[in-house]
Formats: sequence, structure tokens, C-alpha cells
Amino acid sequence: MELTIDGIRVTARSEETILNLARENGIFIPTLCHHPALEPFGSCRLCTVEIVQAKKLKLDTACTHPAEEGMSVTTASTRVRHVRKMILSFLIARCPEVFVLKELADKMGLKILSLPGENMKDEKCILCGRCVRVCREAIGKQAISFAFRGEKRMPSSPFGIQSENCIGCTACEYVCPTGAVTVKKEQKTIYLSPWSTEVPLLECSNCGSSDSTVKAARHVEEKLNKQLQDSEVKAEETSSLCSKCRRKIAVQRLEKLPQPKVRGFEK
Amino acid sequence: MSIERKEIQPIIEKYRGQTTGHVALLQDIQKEYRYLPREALEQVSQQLDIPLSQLYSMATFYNSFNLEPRGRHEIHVCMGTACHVRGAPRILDRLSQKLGVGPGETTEDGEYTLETVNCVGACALGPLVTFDGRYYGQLTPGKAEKLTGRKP
Amino acid sequence: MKTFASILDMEQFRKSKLKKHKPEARHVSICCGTGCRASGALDVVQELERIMEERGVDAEVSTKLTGCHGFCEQGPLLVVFPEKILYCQVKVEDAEEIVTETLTRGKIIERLLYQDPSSGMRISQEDQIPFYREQMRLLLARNGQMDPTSLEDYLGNNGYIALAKVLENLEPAEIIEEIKQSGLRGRGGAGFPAGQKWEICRQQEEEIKYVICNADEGDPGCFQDRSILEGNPFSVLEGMTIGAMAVGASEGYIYVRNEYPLALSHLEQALEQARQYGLLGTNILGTGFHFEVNICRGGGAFVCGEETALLSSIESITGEPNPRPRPPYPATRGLWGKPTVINNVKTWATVPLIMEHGAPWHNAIGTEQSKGTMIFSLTGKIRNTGLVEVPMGLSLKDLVMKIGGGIPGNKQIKAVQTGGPSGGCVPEKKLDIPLDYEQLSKAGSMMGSGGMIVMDESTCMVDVARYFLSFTQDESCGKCTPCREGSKQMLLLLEQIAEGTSGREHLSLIEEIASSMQDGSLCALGQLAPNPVVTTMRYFQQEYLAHIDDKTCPAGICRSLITYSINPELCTGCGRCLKSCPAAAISGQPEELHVIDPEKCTRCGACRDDCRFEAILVQ
Repeated sequence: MELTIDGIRVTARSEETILNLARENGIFIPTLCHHPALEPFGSCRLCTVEIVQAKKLKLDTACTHPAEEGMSVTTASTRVRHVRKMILSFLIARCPEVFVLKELADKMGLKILSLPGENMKDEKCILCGRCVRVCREAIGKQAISFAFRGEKRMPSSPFGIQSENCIGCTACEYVCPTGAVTVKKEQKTIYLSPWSTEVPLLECSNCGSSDSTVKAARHVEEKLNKQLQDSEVKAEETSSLCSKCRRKIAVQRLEKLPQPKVRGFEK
Repeated sequence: MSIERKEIQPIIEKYRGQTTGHVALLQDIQKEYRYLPREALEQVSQQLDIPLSQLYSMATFYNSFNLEPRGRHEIHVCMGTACHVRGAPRILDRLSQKLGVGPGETTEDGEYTLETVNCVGACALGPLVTFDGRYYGQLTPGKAEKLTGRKP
Repeated sequence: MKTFASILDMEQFRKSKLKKHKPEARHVSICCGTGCRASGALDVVQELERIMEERGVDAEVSTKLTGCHGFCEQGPLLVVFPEKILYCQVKVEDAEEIVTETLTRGKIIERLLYQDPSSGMRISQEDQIPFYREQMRLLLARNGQMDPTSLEDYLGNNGYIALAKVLENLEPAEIIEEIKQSGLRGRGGAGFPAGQKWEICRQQEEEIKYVICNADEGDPGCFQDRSILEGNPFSVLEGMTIGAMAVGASEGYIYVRNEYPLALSHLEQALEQARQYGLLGTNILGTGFHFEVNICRGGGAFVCGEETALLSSIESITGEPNPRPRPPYPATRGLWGKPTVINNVKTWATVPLIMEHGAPWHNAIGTEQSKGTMIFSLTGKIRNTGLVEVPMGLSLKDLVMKIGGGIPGNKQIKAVQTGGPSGGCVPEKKLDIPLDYEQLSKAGSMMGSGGMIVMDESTCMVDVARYFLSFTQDESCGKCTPCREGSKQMLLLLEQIAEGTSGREHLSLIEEIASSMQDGSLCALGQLAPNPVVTTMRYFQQEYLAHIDDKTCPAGICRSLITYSINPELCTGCGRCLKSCPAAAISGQPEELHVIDPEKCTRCGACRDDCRFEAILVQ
């Protein structure tokens, strides 16, 4: 499919979003809630662009809108820049100390407006939803979700207390763009905030160190066992070992395997 | 509050195997207990394999669900446009004063829960209040106040 | 109860039923819609039936509980047939006289007749009353005549003639062509051509398709859909069945607001009966066509009236019913990813009428671009509150004055809000505007679901803007930044204006927020939420400036900007105000002038409500 972005002719595959197409062609469109490993969400609205198709003009998010034949996209028109200015102004009013917001505004040369409604100074969550989405889409645990609605909307564990489904994989912390999700490693557990959730750490039966949680290790094992169900080599019952010791054992196992009859591999 | 198996089980069975209808499921539970007890949602989650986080999302999103026990009587003040123009905020204020609670709250003695509702569709009768589901229209703050002394 | 094995079977039944019908037989229909029930209609029915039985009148005269007649201001309503005598504001005490005089002897009881407020004349015939006379009641026609819980009654009132015709004679493509030719536009608010939507759905190459009725009527002040669902649920079912045939769907959903228990109950009964009679389910009327309908209840969220949020709510995959990006549109990818046609209650209810009378019939009503009738819910500062069905193109002024009866209390009309919280205010000087999709949009407002709130000089437009925005802000799902944050910030600014703590810069800031919400929001809730604010700012700028520059509220509504005082010329010293004041701000001796302490006064208005001498002044 042929279309133009900022006057530049580009070719798109079918079922491709404007955002992906722009990025492939080195054209800048800012995003916040977008994550390449997750389904497009369309909540921050920062990637809003102008789209002209069949002589009709509309504004929509590049991350969700499919690229189509004959389209003409403008990534930084006056209207688009105004939307972005307001979005960043809204978010900075909500989270005055989140660094990435001011950085984005500076990079795009947008002057932030000051607004009457302000949150507490230490609010970090910009409601991008990456934490909830990664837990649901990538990890498959749905340990957290969005609670309430409107200005009270917030990602939360069920009832704001310990989430039983949480495996402590810390993917939520990994994808959080602002540091609103934090993980604190205690002696025998990790504590995830703001989920008020504690997950016991795996204590290595070999060396005694802990670098992952019991539940996360079991989860990985389940996934692997599922993949390797029909193969001869099953994942070892190594969920009582830390990753270092697990690797050691794997090497030992490899050394015990019969030698293949291939020249150059004999010891 | 502990929930009885015999109360929750029939509701769970009714919805077993259904892909839609989760809102209706929660409404049935709300009707049974007059709110959504956490233990009830946990039972539903376990037995019907619906993530608890999903149920919590729904319970907190929609207006008709409450996670706290309701009073014995529920007073809903309609805040629709027609009622607003005819003075609904004053009705709400007077009831709020008389009962000593704000919208969404329950009196200490557990008798009354005061709520606002966004238009029940009886606009000609505004300002209007429902008391345990019965409609009372064309109210003044004085008449509304008297309702709290009555049983429907 | 019968089951119709074929169309012929149904038609023979209809014929025999009509034969048995005696048009000259006396019967009385009582409006039992939610509104009249709230006014005690059921008590009236009970008393009537009791007395009728006592006097043995029940042998010849029957009672029929019908759906909403629409003349809500005058309820409880009662119509005696065959004379079509309308009695208004009927009380339980009137039952006796009605039975002995009207039902038995055909004598009219003058005092129960509608009285025209300007001429003082009593009018006995329902269709002579200006409120009804000026209307063109097509969708609401059967509301006053049929028992909504009786499929047989629906048949006796031309029900299912359209479905029979369609099943016998028409191919799906022909049905769609007819709907396209009729010019029917979606009545949910957006006004998208229904036929075009159906065609897109039909063209999708998918085995499974759905039709959905959006009955999540959330606009405060609107109750048209409720009235149709309570008063004639079969019309919606028939429409959906025809639609399902046209697009190739075999399953449908009706998504009903939780706050409409009577509508839900009548719908459930209607589905039950339709199944039993063979008009729903497998092998409808023996033609081999299968179509089943399920009811989904809403949980109390205005956003679920938005079609993609509605889909999210039914699917409940994540729990929260968030709107989804479009494209893809539901007609291509909707419920569970399948092609889905979503239409409003009024749209579905119009379909059987179009198929029965033909596209040209529908096309002849209305304007060039807006065909057919529209049901408006007329509320606010108007004499005749209720539902009015009129052809598109009627002027707003005629609607308000001729049908609505004008403003009570000889006050001046100030504006009419159309389209609910997503619509705008049409000021008095633009009242000649024809009621048509494009014309209303041009004026900055919109047709929406047909809500119409009349405002007079005692309405503060800043307060109106604040009211609507606080509604949309409360109902915002919160997913997207512009709507969630923008509505919150805009509301704060409006509140500051209403409190007299703002400057001129508030107005330009509101405009900036408004345009970002219009351009950046994910769904129509956010995109249109600024409308009431923007239109009131546009047409009533002086009023805003009074709040900002002069710190006054000309209409006397905004609490921070008004003072309550007692008029010494009218005060009798009765002390009622002193007793009613919750802030103990009034003092005075019995039979002496009472005084309000402005420091303690909260401007709640309790004293004004209780004073019998109109001695409380608000400035």
C-alpha cells in the first residue's frame, strides 16, 4: 500500500499501523502508553496524528489506526501539536515530578500550560496501563487491573490488598515508564508497590541465594514444560535452584550426554 | 461477613459456562447480599475461573455495584437534567443534612443509604427520589425530608 | 397460547382476532408507564377494577394497562374508548365517578378533562388537545392502545405484518435497499444512515453475525427508549428480526440500562411470548429462519451507551467497559470480532413501519436530509413535559410553544438544550431552527437522542454548563488522557467561575482544553463533552463575564454569588424561615421582621421554599 507521511511516500504492509510504518521510516511520533510487545492501547493519545483519507480529515492515534492506501498523514500539524501540548500539560499537572513528561515536552518544543487541578507532588502514575497490560497479555496472570473510573481510575490489585495471582515476575516494574511501580527486595520476599503484594523468594537449595520468586520460577517451568511436552528432553525440575546453579547443572548434564559422531567434536 | 454456600452456589451455577453475562452475575449477587462481599467474589473467581482482578474492575466501575454493605433503606435522588433544573440539588442537600451522610454513604445506624442516580426517566415528575425502589415525585426539600420518617 | 406454524397460520389467527374485536365496545386504557406509575396509576387501576366488579360493569367494559402515552405532565392518564375521552391527573377518588358516569352512561366528567391554559376551555378528545394534535405519532402510536405484555394485542394492532411480508417476499438485499431508500438514520445520536450500516455488515464474509439494540439510554432527561420498551417491546423485536434477516445474523442482544426495571420486565415477557408463538428462535413461522435474542443488563455507566464500550461491556474480557478505537467499526468487526449492527431502540422500532408502508412513505416525511419522525423528550421549564413525536423539520419554536405549551409562570424562554450532555444550547434568538440533524449541528448543538431541556430567565447558563460537565466528568471511563484530565480541569475552571474566583484567562484556557478534548479523545463522550460549555460560552458570553468581572450571577443561582435577605415589606414574622434554616442563620422575634445573617447563610434555599409570603429575596 502506498501512502504519505509528512509528504514522504512510504509503503505499508497490510494490517500495519501508522505508528509502526512511521518508525520503520525514521519518522518521529511521540508515544507513552505504547509498547512494542503489547497490543496498541490508545489511551495516552500522544501519538495523535492528522489523517486525510477520501478527502475527509480526522485526528486519530497512530498506534491504533491502520495505514491505508492513498492516505495522507501529518505528524506535527498545529492541531496535533496543540493536542500534544495539552496532554503533556494534563499529565504534568497530575504528576509534576515525572521526568519523562518534561523531557518529551522539551524535545517537541511544547510550552506547558499551568492548570488549576494538581495532584500530590509524588504521584507518578500516568495511567499508561502498561503494567496491567503486560500482566494480562505477556504473562497471562491478570494479577492487577484498572479499578474505578474517571479521575479515580487507577491500576490496582483486587481490593487493594495482596494479589493472589501475582507471581512476582516484576514485568510490571520493567515496563513502567515513570517508576510508579517499585519492587523492594526483602530478606525472604519481594514487595511490589503499589500492589501491596508480597511474594516469597526462591531460596536456592544449592547455594542459598535468591534471585527470583518461587511462583515466577514455577510459572516459567510450566510454560517450558508445556512447550517441551512431546520432546525427549524435558525441563529439569530445577525450580529449587537459582539461575547460576541451574546453569551449572545444565552444563554438567550436557557433559554427561553421549558424544555425537561428528568430526571435530571429540574431546 | 461470612457468606453462606447455599446462598452463593445457586447463583454461580446459573452462570456456569457462560461467556457473557458477568454484569448480570454481579447484579444477582448484589441483589442477594445488598452489596458485593469480597468472599462472594472470591468464590465466583475460583469456581468460574474468572480472574478476581476482572471482577474487581467491574465492581468498582459500574454505578450499580457497592463493595460496602448498604443500609436497610436506600434513597436515590435523581440528578437528571430535568430534576436538576427543578431543584434536585436542594433535595439532596436537605436529605444529606437530615441523615448526616453524603451521597454514597450509609448512616451509622445502618438504616439509610443515600445515593444519587443519573436520571430514572420519569422527568415530568421531577424532582424525584426513589425510596427502596418506589418513586416519589414533585418533591420539595420539606416533603423529601418527611420521607425519611416513613416506610414505603 | 398458540404456536404459529406458518405465516398463513398467523394471518388466520389475526383475522379471527380482529373479527372478534368490537370497536364500539367500551374499554378504558390507563397509562402505566414508569412516570404514571410513580404518580399512582396502579392504585387508580386497582380501585377502578374493584368498583367495576362491584357494580358488575366488568362484564361489558374491559381495562387495559398500556405503556407511556407521553403526556407525562398530566398523568395519571386514562382514555375511554370508543369515544376517546381523555381524563387527566386521575386520582383514586375519581374512580367511582368514572365508573358510574362515563363507563356506564357515557357521560363526560368535565373536571377531569384537559383544560387549555390560555383559553380555559375543556377538551375531551385526546386528538384535539394541542399537545397531541400537533404531533405525528408513528412510533408511539400504539403506546396508548395496546397491552405491552400481550403479543396477541400487538397482532391486533398490525404487529408482525412487516415481518410476514419480508419473510414471504423479500431477499436480504431488497430489505437493505428499502431501508436505504427510506432515508432512515440512526436515532442513537450520530444519525448514520441505517441502510448503509446494514449493507457494510451484510458484505462481510463471515458466518457469524450479530444485531444489537442499544437500549442504554443514558442522557439525563431522555426517556423515549424507556417508553417504547415499556409500551411496545414487540416493535423492537420485530425490527431486530427483520434486520437479522437482512444482514445474515442469527443472534441478537438487547443491552438495557439497569435503571429501567419495568422495561426489562416487559422485554423479558415479550421475548418469552415471541418464542412461544414461533416468532423467535428456530424456524420462525416455519420459514427456516433462525433468530434468537438475549437481554444484557447494563451496570450503571453512561459510557456503555457508546457502541464500542457497549461491546466491551457484553464481552467483559477485562472487566472495564472501555471504548475501542474505530476503525475497525462494529459493522466489520464488532461483538467477539464478528460483524455486528448496533442500532438504537427507536431505529429498530421504525423498521417494521418502513417495511409495512414502504420506503416512499417514510421518505415523504421530514426534510431533505433528515427523514421520518423524531421523538423528543421535552422537560425543564415547560408547561407540557413529556414525549412528543414530530416530523423532522418542525421548528424548535413550534415544538416548544405549540406542543410544549410555552413557559409556565409567564417567564421568558432563554435557551433550549438539545442532545443531552453531548449537545449544546440553542439560544432564544435561534429558536426558529428546523429540527434536523444538519441544522442543529450547524448551530453548535446536535440531535442526539432527542433530549430537550427548556430553560427560562431563572436558569444560570454557567450553572447549566457546570451541571452537564460534572455529569460527563463523573461518567468518563478514564482511559484516555484528554477526557479524563481535560474534563476534570475544565470543571475546576467552571467551578471557579461560578464561585467568582476567576479571571478572563479562564475562558481562553477552557477553550484550549475544549479543543484538545474534541481532537484528542478516544470516544464521543470526551469529544462532545465540551459542547454544552462551548455553546453557552458562545451564546451567553455576557453571563459568563458577569460572573468573572462583576462577581454576580444574574439568574440568582450560583450560591457564592448571591445573597439571601428578607423583604421587610412582605415579612409577617411567622418564623417559618427561622425553623427551617439548617445553619441557624435567621433570627427574629415572633411577628417582627426576621433577618438573615449573611455570614452564616449557606444559600441552601430552605427558607425560600418554606416562606408563604414570598418574602425571601435572592440577589
